[in-house]
Parts: sequence; structure tokens; C-alpha cells
Amino acid sequence: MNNSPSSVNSLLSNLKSTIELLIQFRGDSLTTKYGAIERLRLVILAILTHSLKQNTHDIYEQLWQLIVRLNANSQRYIHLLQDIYHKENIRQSVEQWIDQSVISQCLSQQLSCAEHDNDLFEQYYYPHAFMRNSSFYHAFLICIRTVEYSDPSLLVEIDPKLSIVGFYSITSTNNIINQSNLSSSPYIVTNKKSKDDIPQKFDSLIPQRILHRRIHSDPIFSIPKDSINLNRSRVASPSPMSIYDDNPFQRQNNIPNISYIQSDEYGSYGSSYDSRADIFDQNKQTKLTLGQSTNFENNTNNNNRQSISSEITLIDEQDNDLYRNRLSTLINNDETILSNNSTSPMDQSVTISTNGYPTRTARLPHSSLFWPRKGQTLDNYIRECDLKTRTDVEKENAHFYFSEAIISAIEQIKFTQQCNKYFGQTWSSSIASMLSPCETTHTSSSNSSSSPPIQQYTPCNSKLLLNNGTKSLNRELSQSNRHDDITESTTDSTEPPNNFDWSIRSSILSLNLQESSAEAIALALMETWKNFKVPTAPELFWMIPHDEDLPQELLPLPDGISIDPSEDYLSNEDGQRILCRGNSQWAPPREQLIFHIHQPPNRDSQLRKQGYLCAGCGRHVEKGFAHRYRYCEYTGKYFCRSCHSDKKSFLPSYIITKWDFSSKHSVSNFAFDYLNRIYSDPTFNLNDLNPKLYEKSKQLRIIDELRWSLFYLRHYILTCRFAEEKNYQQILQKLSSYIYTDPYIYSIQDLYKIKSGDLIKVLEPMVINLREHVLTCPLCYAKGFICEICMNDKDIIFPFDLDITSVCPVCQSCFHFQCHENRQYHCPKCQRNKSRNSLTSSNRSNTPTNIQHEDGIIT
Amino acid sequence: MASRKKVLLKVIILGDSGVGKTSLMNQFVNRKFSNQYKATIGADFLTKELQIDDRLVTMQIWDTAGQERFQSLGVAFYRGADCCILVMDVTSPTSFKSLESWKDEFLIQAGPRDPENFPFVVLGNKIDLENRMIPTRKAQSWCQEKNNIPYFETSAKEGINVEKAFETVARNALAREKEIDQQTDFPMPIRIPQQEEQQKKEGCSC
Repeated sequence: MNNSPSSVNSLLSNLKSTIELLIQFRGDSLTTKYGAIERLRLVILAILTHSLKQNTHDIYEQLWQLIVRLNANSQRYIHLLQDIYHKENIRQSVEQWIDQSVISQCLSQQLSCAEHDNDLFEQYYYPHAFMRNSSFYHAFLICIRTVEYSDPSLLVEIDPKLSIVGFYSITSTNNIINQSNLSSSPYIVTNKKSKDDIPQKFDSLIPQRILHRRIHSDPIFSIPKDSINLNRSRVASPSPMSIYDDNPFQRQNNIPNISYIQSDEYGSYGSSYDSRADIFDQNKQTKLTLGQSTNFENNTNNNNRQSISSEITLIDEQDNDLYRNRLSTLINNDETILSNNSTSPMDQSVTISTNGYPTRTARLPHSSLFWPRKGQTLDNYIRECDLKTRTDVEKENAHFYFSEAIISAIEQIKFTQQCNKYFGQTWSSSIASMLSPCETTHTSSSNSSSSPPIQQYTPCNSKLLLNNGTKSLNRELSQSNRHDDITESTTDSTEPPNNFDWSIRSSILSLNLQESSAEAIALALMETWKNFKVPTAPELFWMIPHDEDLPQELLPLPDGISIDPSEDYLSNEDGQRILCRGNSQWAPPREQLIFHIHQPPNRDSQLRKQGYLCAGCGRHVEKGFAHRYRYCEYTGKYFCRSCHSDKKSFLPSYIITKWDFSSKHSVSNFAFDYLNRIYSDPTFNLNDLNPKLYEKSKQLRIIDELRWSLFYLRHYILTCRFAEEKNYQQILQKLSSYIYTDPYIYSIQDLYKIKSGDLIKVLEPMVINLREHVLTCPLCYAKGFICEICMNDKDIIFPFDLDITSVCPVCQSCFHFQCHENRQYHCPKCQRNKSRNSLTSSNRSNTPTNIQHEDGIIT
Repeated sequence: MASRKKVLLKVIILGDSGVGKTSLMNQFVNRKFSNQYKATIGADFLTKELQIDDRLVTMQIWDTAGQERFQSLGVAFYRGADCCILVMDVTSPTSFKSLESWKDEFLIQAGPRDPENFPFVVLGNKIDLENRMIPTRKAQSWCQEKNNIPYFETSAKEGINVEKAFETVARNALAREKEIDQQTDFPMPIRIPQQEEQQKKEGCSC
């Protein structure tokens, strides 16, 4: 059984393609198609048996057990199983189960029983099994559902990343076995699978030398002993130059990266390394991915050769300096790893070009676009993509991808310029490589490759492209106003242009609107800097995650943010899904309390503000028909006739500002519904909204007093056992609690009832009753107040007698209104509290020592 | 001397929230204790008859809420009190510190004739607990400063000293009763609302 992730991929893609084939024509049932069931059964069986633990000799017996377990909780399916169980031929049973389940459209249901039952699959499958990988398992379920509902559109739900069947499949997490510390940055070594189905070997490289030894001891890597004894650092560059060059071996010698090409007795094991240390964060887990690199043609041997390629540094102690240098270059390790932690596009393309594998690279998520090949220029890439985007979604996503690419490219160009400005042309390779995602290569002037290397920020493959006579990044297409720069860049480009004009040219804006595809816009934008050294496509910092393992915090977008504009939801910082509302032109009406009275409507100006869109549904109206739109007095906006049926309603603004209860206001259907819904909601704080209203309405004043009386009465009623016995508490609690806990808050309903006098009829007798109880109840009466100012203990006062008592807002003490106001007393109780507090706070500093002292006495 | 008629002694229990005021009263009146804490809301009273020497005394014990949130209720019932029990929790220094303000506040609100000699009794409750913070000596010295207030260490839970403390309360209250010659400070009024209204219209005399 092939356990490699690629086989998982291929299993899924087999299934997917089979299904695509089977349900090509809707309406055809599976049973009528010759061989359909058989084909489907085979692929499903392959998936189910993938990495199945074989406790018994018969894999089907094991599988049957699993099937029974899956259906253990279902009475319905267990009968089916009983029917098809053949003791002597389990395989037949299993096959029948698959067939029957598929035909009766219950396979996905049965399987999904175990969706959250990890234990079950853990028991039956090895960790790398298809069924254990939740994303694949999920995709599998989707596939099966697709068949069951014969709805090909379901297939879209499959994560496109999963269906990639490249030779270099997505790294499964299995590849990452170990991590270790090396110079404070942990590394993970990931071995990429070689052509053969040799089990992958993983290793940690705690000290660098361990990897060295490991490779040495591992026959697959077949490092001759002498190479180790040489105490050389063995570093091969993944530079594409070596690939395209006629004589890679010689070329290797020219570049500073020391590449050790070993002779190989184990030629058939075409294994090689392309490892990258990615030190983008010293504290973070960094990954050294060992990717497949090219096989160099060997002078002595035409067999496949191995090279320990790229930045993996196998260093002996003596080479520490070199190692350090190398490490600094490692830091450069490009964002391709950030975005693509296993298969860097470079490696892919390299392999493709040399080994002639089918050009299959990973796709960008939710898009038909591929990751750029190594060395592909940006505009080449974009042009190529132009042919690939088909559906609307893909076209829209292309906008995102390309804008990102363009921004990234601009940033890189800008960065290069800045660096050149500050460091001049001599800035060291280490800095350059540390800071730029582009590899620093020795680029001679465009004509002479033998001239002394000039450190320059140049895309590593530019020379190659020049040599091949293909598109050059240094295209010096002249633009009259950039003439200075052009001359600079044409003269061997020793000094990149300093004055890049970042503003978008008008020429771009004059784009034909018909041509507004992402590709066209991107290319038009790039027109402006065609005479600059544009980084190649794969060198750009692609923000799109290529792998789910990529830590989200490194990405600029929060988790789950929607790129698809058709999504109604997007996630906020807490990960909660929130609804997106409308766009810059139009948004659906919001439920909002509007307290002000709108200015008399001016149809033209208001509709212009609305962009001639209905405020309710966004329907556009021609100016000529604008008079058909109706004005909503609540929202102050115009609505189409479907959204505005000329319903009449009250308006809170009129009630609150004018005490005007007329219900003749024409409102939109939305506002009508909303106002009806909030009719009885206690949401209007009259103290805040319009205290003058109390002056306007006597009824309101009376209610206000009654409610405040209730507010104070409730303290007595709710704490008195006699009131409880006499059911006074229940009388109080018949009211909505806000009536007596928040006396200044009203609902529209309350205001209507005040206007009609209904509320007074309810509250007045209640206040009289309750007050009577308090004054006659020995318990309640005892909780009255004695005015501290006049100290007249014959006169017990109560806060609910609003006309004679005033209540201290701080300590709630009661005083005679006259005593308090006339003599302008401060509350004596508050003053006492204040002086006590200041006393205790001044004493507080001594307190701890006092306590210690006293503790001493106790012991 | 004092008549043989029944004497009603009004006793107010004050102290911080959770010191055990209600528990002490319950222990004294009902001889019951519950570990469950239930904050007293407002104020309420229980009565208990006691034989002090040859006199039958009815104690009306007012249990109050120690919590600030019930300050929206008045304390008119302080008036006419014959004795005030100040309770603190010996495991809580804060409750000890508050005694002072409870005492002050009581004297202001109750307005007794002779505040200097008004009978207080201080109870240090919860002596059954181990994490004691207020030593006896400290409490006693505070009481001595305050005109020799009797101090008892009690446990409402175990019933330690509760009886004795309340008996002292009754005795001290009774002694004051004699001094003041049965003049009531504050008759428990059962007034009819109409009367009240009339009074109110007169307004404050000050």
C-alpha cells in the first residue's frame, strides 16, 4: 500500500474524476450505466483500504468490522448488513455493502456517522491513512454525496488544494517528524519523496552534524564517505542557472555557493535535497524543507545523479565561519516558503524543466491559477493566467491575486531603490539576501557574463532569460518622461533608477472598460515600470497561504476572511461571523431609532444622495421615474413602491419632540414593521431625549411622579414580610419592572397610554394602595426617615412623598424638602461618610504594621 | 420604683454585612443556627420574653441589613431604642473598624437623650473560627475607651455566650429604663395615613 501523501491525493483525484465521469449527465442513474457501480466501488474500496490496519490476515474482514462499527448505532443499516453478510466471502459482503449503500444513497450518511469519531478511525487506520486525514475524509464525503444527489456542483466544495495531483504533492504533516534547536532556531527537516516509493526518512538535526551523519548512514542518500571526510561544507544552490546552463558543474564553481556534487553508486535512488532554512522568526518553528532538486547531468555517469542541493548546510566544525555566512543567506529564505512551506514553486519548476514531468504545479486557492513557475516573469505569468481564468469567481479572484502581486512587486522595487540609496552599490550580499526575498546572484552586465560580479538586486533568472532571448526584466522600453531612468538602466544598470514614479499614470486609467480583466489591469499597471527590474513572479511575497499549516498570525488577513465577494459573512477578530452589509453605494436599511424630525424632503437631492437607488432594495430608478418613489418619513429616504406601500404610522421623533401622536406619517414597509416591533420596547429615556416634554404634558408629569413614587415604594414593599403576606408585592410585580426601576424610561406604548390616560388609571390606585400599606405597616413605617436637618423625630418622612422630601442622590438619605433646599445643606450623612473615609485612609498606612504587631501579641 | 407592668425593650443589632447579626438573633430567640448565609433585606424584628430578676421583659430585637444597598430605606426605628448591640466578626478586621461608624451613626439617627451613657454592647462573633484576626485585648481596649462598653465574645454557631450577652443587653436597657423613668422616646406609631398627610402639610418645623 502506498502510504505517501501523493497516493492520498491520487486516491481522491481518482474518486473525483470517476465521479465527474459518472454524473456527467444528470438523470442517468448509476445502475443504468454500464460499469458505473464497479468503477465507483473500486475507488471507494481503494480509499477505505488505504492504510487500513491489518490485524487479521484478511483486509476485507477488517474492513467489514469497521463497517459494522460504523453502523452500530443505526438500526436501519444494521439490517442491511445482516442481509449482505457472507461468512465465507467477506470481500463480497464489503463490495455489496458499497454497492447497496451507493445505490440506496446512504453511504455518505453511514460514513458521516463517524465523522467526529476519531477513535474509530484511529483504531482501524494508520495515522497517514486517507480516512484519518480529516480534509481528505471530508472531501471523500463530498464526493459520495455528489454521487448520491448526482449533483456535480457539490464537488466545488472540495478544497481545491486537495485535488492537486502533482508529482510533488502537498506535504503531509507526516513529513515533519522532528524539530530541534540549532543556534536558537529550531529546524524541521522534511524529506521529499523521491521518485521511488521508498519510505521517507526523517531526521532531526540537533547539531548540524547529526544530519550529516544521518545522511551518511542512510543508504538512500548515498553520500560517499570521502565526502564527509573532506570536512567541506556541502551546499548546492538551487539556482536555476545551473539548470539552464550547458555545463552546470562548471557554473556551480563560479557561484559562491559551494555545491558538492557527489558521484553516486545508488543511481536508481534519485534522491536529492533541496533544503531551505526559513528563519523568518527566530522563535518560531522554522522549517527546513528538503525538496527535490534537479538531477545534474554527470560528466562521468549518465545515470541519475544526486546532489545535495541548496541551502542545507552540512558543516563541520572547521567551517563555522562559512556556516555563519551561509546562515545569513539562509535568512533570505524566501517567502515562497512562507506561502508554500513544502514545495517552493522554484523547485517545482526546476524539476519540471529538467526532468520533463508534466507541468503540474499547485493551484492558488479558489482559482484556476497556478503558482508561478520559477523564473517566470511577472507579466509572463499574468499573460499566461489570462488564458486560465474561466469562471467569474476565478476572474474575480484573479484581481486579488494580481493586485497582491503588483503591490508586492512595487514594494520590492521600492525596497531595492531604498537599499541602493542607503547602502550604495556595495551593500553586501548577506544584507541583500537577508532582506530581500530574491536571491542575490552575481549578475554581470547584460553582455559579459565573465566580468567581475556586481552585487545587484536582480532576479536570479534574469540572465537566463536574457541568454535565452526571452522576455527580459530589463526591458528598456522607453517612456519619454522617464528618460533619465531609462538611460540609467540601459547603461549596464549599475545604478537602478532612484526616482520611481509610483503614481498611477493616466494611461492606465484610460483602459478600455471592456478590457478590465484582472490580467489586463495588471499588465497595464506594469507598463509604467517596465523599465525597472521587476522581480519574477515566484520571488514575490505571495500572501495567499499555500498550506494550511501556515500560521495564521503571519498572514495579514484574519482567519477565515472571505475573499469571495459573494460571501455574505466575514469574520471579525474574535472569529465570530458577522454579516456584511451592502457596499459603498447601497446598504440595506438598518434598524435604528431615529429621534429627529427630517427636513422637508427634496426629492432630487435626496435621490441623488441615494444614487437613485431604492433605500429598501437597492433597485435603481431612472430620473424620469423618480417621482414614483415614495418618501419614508421615518428614515428620510426614498423607497420604491414595493418597499413603500404608503403605510401610515406614528413617528417617535414627533412624539418625543412635539408630543404629537398622529399616525398619519407615511413610512416605508421596513420602517412600519420596525416601528411596530419596537412599539412596546422601553427604549426611550426622556431625561436624555427631551426633558422639556415634562413641561409640555401634564399627564406625563403626573406619570413621572407616580413612577418615582413607585420607585421608592418598591424598596418598602419588596422588603416587608407583611406586604408579602398581603400580596402587595405581587401587585407591584404585575407591572413591567422597568416601570418602577427605571422611571425615566418609556416605551412608545407607555407614551400612548399616558396620552390616553390609561396608564394613570393603573398607576394611581396602585401608588395610593402601596403608600397606605407603608404608612400603616409597623415594619415599613419603622424604615422611614427622620430629617437629619431638623431632627424632628415626630415627623417620619418617606422618599416616595416626592412633594415634601428630597433624597440625597448619593446616600439616599431623606430630608424635608424645605430643610434641604432652603438652608442649602449638604447631605450631613455624606459629609460624615466623607470624613470617616478620609480618616480611615489616613490610618490605613499604619494598619499593616498594627496587625503584625497584634499578631505578635496573639502568638 | 418601677411598676410590675410588662416592659418592652427595643434592641437594635448593628454591624457589617455577614458578621452574624441575624444568626445571633436566631440563636437567642429560636436557638437555631444555619450555616447558610442569606443577606437580610431591610430590617425586621423578633420578640422574646425574658425574666430579668423579678421582671418579665419583652425584648423587641431589630435585626438590620448590614449591606449598603439597603440604605435607601430609613432607620426611623432607631428612635426609642433601649440598647444597641454592635456586632463584629473576630476574623474580619474591617468589621471591627466599622464599629465606630456604626456607633456614631446610631447615636445620630436614634438621637437618645443621653448619648454618652447610652447602653451599647459589643459582641465579637465567630470565635469558633480558627482564623481569628482581632485579639480579645484589642476589642476590650476599644470598648473601655468607649465608656466601658461591655464586650462579649460569642459564637452564634455554637451558642457560646449568646444568652449571657443578651441578658446583659436586657439588664443594661432596663437600668436605663429606670433612669429615664419610663419616658418613651419614640412610641411605635400606628398612624393613619390621613393624619400623616396633615402633618406633612405643616412641613418641617425647622
